[in-house]
Amino acid sequence: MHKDDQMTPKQRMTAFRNGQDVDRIPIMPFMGTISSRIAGLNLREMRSGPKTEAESQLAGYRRLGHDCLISDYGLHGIGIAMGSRVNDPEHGVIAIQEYALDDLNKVDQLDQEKVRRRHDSKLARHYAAAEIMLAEAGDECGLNVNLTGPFTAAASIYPTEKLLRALVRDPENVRRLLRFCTDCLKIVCREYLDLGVGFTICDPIASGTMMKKENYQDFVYPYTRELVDDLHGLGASVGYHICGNTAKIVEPMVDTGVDMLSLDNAVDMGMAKEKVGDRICLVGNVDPTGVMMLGDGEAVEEAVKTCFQKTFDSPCGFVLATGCDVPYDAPLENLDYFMAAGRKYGRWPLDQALYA
Amino acid sequence: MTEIICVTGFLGAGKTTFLNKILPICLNGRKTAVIENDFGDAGIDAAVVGETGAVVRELSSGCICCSLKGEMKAVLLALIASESPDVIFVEPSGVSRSTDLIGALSQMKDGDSALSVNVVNLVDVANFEDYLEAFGDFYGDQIASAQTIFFSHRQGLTQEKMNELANQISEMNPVAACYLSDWLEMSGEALWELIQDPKDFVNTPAFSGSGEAKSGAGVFSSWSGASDSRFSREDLEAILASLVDGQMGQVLRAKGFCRGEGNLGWHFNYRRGSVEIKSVDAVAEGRMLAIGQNLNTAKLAELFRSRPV
Repeated sequence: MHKDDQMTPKQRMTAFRNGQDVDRIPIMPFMGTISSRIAGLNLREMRSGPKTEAESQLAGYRRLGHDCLISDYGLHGIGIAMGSRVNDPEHGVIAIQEYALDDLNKVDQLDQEKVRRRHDSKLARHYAAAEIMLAEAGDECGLNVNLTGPFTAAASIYPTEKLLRALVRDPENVRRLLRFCTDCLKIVCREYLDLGVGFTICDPIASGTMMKKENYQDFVYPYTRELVDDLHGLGASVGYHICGNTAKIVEPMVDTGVDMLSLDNAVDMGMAKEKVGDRICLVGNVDPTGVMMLGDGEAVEEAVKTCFQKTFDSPCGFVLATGCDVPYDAPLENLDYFMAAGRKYGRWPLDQALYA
Repeated sequence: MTEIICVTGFLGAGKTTFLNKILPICLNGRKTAVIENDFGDAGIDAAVVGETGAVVRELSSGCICCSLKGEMKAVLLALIASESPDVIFVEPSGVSRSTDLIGALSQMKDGDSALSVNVVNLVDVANFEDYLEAFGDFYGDQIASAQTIFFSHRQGLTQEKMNELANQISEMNPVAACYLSDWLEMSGEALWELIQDPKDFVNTPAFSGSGEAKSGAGVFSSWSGASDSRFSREDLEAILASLVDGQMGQVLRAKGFCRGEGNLGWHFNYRRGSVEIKSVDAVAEGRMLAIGQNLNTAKLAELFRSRPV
């Protein structure tokens, strides 16, 4: 347990979910990439095997004491299993070089069995890393698997722009691809299930920045709802994050049945509280680039304070987080400032006078 | 100071074609670089890069929203430091918001000065209405953030439909210079001129009451010619003076080189009524260009005693 806390993340999250007293509000900076630097590794090294992958997360956890470890199945996970080729940059996140599907009429040729651990070495690595993390810190901290929603999974098989264009030109084949991706994601989740993990669905391509609400309702909501129902049926909790501006779709996002709603910094937390705060716990949303990467300690504290000002009284609760993944190049001290500010403003019981 | 020109537009709008057309022109004496996003279509022609010597860098952002600023900054600053280019073309992903891109670029500096950022947007007008209805705010944002807008895929659209789309687009961005004619038929020189000083082409008297598009948008066309004829300074002054009276159409910009007497040549520049003529070293072949509305290309050719390029 971190020296500045009185509860372990596991104790805290259990109490928080049950509406009981906690020592502080949960804090969850997105540590998908920057944790590697805390472990003294670059991103290629982090990705090189289960040990380094686990060590990155654990090093981040030891330093910050934040409230969840991550197994990052990744934005391109389904696509890679299907044969999309990615690069392996030393200091950058992976990007797709060649897509598995060049023609939407070939969706039927894709094989969902390929996502299973025994066929997908990448999933085997993530799973082994998750085992290491849980063996090391599982008694005090929960582990969340970050995976994509069906739409972003589709964009890892077939290029984003072509997929968006197909919403207009070829919606039926888009639906077939989404059907396939939803089934794949269910399989991936089951592959993790015996570890007792939670899930966070990240769906950046389903953002309001990318598509209209009507298309979200039509092409994203039904498949996501199905996935969430499936995971709930398996007893797992589900968080939901969509990048960019989701102001117009927060209601249908909550309708998917997820347990926590994570908001990008492009969304006003006050607005989210008004619209859906009485239905769901809100997670957010310090600017990862403007504040965490480019700001100083003062800017970080100010941004954390603003989040509390806007959301501390959200009826179903509030979790302090960043609005998206903290950039790899952000100063590590800013993570310490972030946690310190979270501990200061999130001390239980919350003291409204602190936010004035 | 490095000039940044962002060429934005959704898949199929012609970003790469545009770059292939304008790069050889831009490179005329300028050190040029291109930053391409690998989310986009096929890259610029290897032949164009080979001929021109432009420096090309790729962005490989894994998450569209998050890493744009960080990686863009790193690539751009490294480029400026190592190559000190005069012009950097940025071809972002077709789904990126120009506002975010401009925001990221405006935080960067070239030495002590801020970067000058110019945004060109290519709109696939055949699909404009469908895309506007289906896509999120990145699409409208690309239009609203541009200084110059070009229409692609105009074939098959009636003039009436074009005007309707032009009105809609100029409502989304009343301050952009909106080029409705077929830019594929324009010379690279003309495109370069148009994007250089878009303000020259907006809200000029030439547009008011044109009836073709509301607010700031205007219908431009261009003309280019080549000529072996020799002109005296007086000839040239008379020709350029005649551009003002409207007989050649509404010429907003004309420039070029032409042969003078003996070993002399002329470089001329006509900009909304003001004329500049400089003598230069011998010119092997005269080349001239005009941009404006309702250009009388036959008359322009006659004036410069030119042949088509």
